[in-house]
Amino acid sequence: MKKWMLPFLAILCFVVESIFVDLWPKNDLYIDYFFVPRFFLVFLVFTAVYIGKMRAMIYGFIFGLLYDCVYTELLGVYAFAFTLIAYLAAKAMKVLYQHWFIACLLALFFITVLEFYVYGIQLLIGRTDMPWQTFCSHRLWPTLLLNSAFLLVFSYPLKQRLVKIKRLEQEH
Amino acid sequence: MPQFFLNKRLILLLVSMIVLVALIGFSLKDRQLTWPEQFLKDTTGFVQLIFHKPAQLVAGFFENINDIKNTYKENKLLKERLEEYVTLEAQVQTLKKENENLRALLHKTESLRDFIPIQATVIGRNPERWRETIIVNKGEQHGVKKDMAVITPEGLVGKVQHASQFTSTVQLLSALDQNSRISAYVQGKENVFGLIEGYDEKRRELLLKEIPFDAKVKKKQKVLTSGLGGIFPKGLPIGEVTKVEPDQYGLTKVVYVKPFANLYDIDDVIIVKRKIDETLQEKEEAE
Repeated sequence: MKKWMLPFLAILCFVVESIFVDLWPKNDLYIDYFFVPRFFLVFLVFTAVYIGKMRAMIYGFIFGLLYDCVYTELLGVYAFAFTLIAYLAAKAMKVLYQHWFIACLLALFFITVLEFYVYGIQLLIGRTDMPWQTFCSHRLWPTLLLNSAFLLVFSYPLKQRLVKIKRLEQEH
Repeated sequence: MPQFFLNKRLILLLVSMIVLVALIGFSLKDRQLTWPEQFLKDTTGFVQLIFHKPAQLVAGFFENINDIKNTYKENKLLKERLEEYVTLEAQVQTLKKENENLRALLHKTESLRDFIPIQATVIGRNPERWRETIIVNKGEQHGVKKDMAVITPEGLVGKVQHASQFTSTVQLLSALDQNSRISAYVQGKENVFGLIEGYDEKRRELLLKEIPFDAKVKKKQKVLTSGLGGIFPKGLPIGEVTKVEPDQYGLTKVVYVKPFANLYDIDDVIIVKRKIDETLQEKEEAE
């Protein structure tokens, strides 16, 4: 039962992203601004910080691939990014102090990085012609705002959960 | 030794970047989904369905409370409409019968207009929204194929981008790209044919292009699918003309079309399978 906690959390974060967008009231705010939930990325960064590098990278790769297949149909983009971000987050923790607030900031930082990266790829393959200013004001800031709210509410329980999982594993 | 490890990581990074570019190139091709992708989609679709149902129930409850506020006003309006509806209904019945009789006289029983509806429910959405797509719970096993039209009772909302065995991805009209044009016509004394190409995000309207310069198109006219190219049936309502202007070279006209259906708030859809294709398929199988 305990063994399944981490995969369950990962699946939950992954599925909730899509349901969140689907159930969000479709008003002008939704149409004009892009509030992109990056809950799985938050989970990934926290896993990298509190559980370990290898596990985070494997989760990043598997769920990145799922993201590509199921949502975007552009293979490789998220699989590559999530794996790399898991690696970098774990590396960064060697320098940084392991604290809940720092993990939150790290998550926000990587969300920004991911948004820029995906924007770059969409520009490269010509699927979007969104200008730079519009990207910042209509996509990046709303996304950061939404995910900050998510972090504010769920990051502490998530951290507690992960620490507990880690402790249980070490006991065995 | 550390130097060596650093190099190994660098090489791994470079190799994965090359793989990434190759994969993107592969997925940009006009293609059918490979079976591992279909399998992943269907499995995730199943999990999504499990989570989606309770979430939708809760969200639906709050929406209902909102609706109750407007009930009285709507009820009044609907009662007025009901009387009009009865006469219209009678008219439609006679016209339908007449049409059938005439067709029987001509020995022409198949029509581009007839279609088989496949009911589907939205179980997910692309959360990153670079491309507005929704995932619905019907797939090839239920008869869905690539490029089929997707409608709500109000009108056309999109087309099937990819179908896997039990789920399929629908590309909404608001995310149309150059490769997916829809043949349509403006209903009038003389029908004017054109192609739906692209979406104006500011006006939230579709663009109907390739209209001859001398064609007479007026505001408030209805735009329907023509059923000419591809596998859309004829006569699915798309929207209403709001503005007509010459295109940038002045050779053709561009018509702005306000969609009947809400292209964002979609819960249940109908995937449209043309009857004429079905009968053709049966004939082939019989042979």
